Amino acid sequence: MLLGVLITGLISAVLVYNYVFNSAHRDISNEEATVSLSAKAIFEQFQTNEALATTNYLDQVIEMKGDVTSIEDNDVVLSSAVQVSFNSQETLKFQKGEQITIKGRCVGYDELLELVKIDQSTLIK
Amino acid sequence: MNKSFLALLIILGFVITQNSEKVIARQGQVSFFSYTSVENIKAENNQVSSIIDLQEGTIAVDMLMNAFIFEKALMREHFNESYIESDIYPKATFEGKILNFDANIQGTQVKMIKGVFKMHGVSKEIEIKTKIENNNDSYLLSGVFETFVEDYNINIPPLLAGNIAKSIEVNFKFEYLPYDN
Repeated sequence: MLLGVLITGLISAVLVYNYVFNSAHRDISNEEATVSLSAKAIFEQFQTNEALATTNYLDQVIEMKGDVTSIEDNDVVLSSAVQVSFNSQETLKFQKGEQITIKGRCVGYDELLELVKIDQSTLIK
Repeated sequence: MNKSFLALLIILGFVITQNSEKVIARQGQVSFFSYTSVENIKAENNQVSSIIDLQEGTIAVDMLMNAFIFEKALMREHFNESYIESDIYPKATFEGKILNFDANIQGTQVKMIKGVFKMHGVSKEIEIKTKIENNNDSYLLSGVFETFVEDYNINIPPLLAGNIAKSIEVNFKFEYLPYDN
């Protein structure tokens, strides 16, 4: 009887410990995109009504296409409207003007740069 | 008389156009630390943007809260969903002025930046001691300051109060390059 209680207690403790300390971080590259649209379209939505666009897209996985207008070390800008940052050094292979489709997480709208920001992105095609 | 006046005008024009320029940091780093006896929490944001108007000495910073990276997924969840409520307040901003700033000084200078920091819907006047390094028109701004959780209407449930320090240490490092508007 006592042994039973002890074992249950131990298993619960391990489960709680695991939940608190080892919860997996989201793996965006393996998640399904909730919406697919163009870089220009999402930018326009944030420009028109930032609060609404935030509710719709913040923290969501977005599939997005656009043409590369600027390339930096870790990120590219699509259609001069959306800054996309990548997990790995994938930006090295892009060319300006290239049409690409990416999947990433929407982090919000940067007022200073006037760009929508997407992170943890991977290239779809 | 005419020639030197003309030369002076040209030089003056050159100096003026040199100074009314903006510099921009696209991947500024801001990290914060909370030290308690229960646990230490650290989070980092490498997507902070900032613009400085070199002539006016004004500085603006835009920081998206959702971009903070935590060691533990659960901490991130608490931070975004319960404390900062990033779906309602997706960003923190700072607007201020670098006091007694001379953009032309090469090398290192230490200045105070005074302005308004807004986070979680609360605006606070703060003054931050900042190290500014000018290296051929690329500027590196860095510093540390302390801020208090309770100043920003952040509600920490009593159960977790021991896990989060009352005063949070914030470190920042921004590298600015010329900005062609």
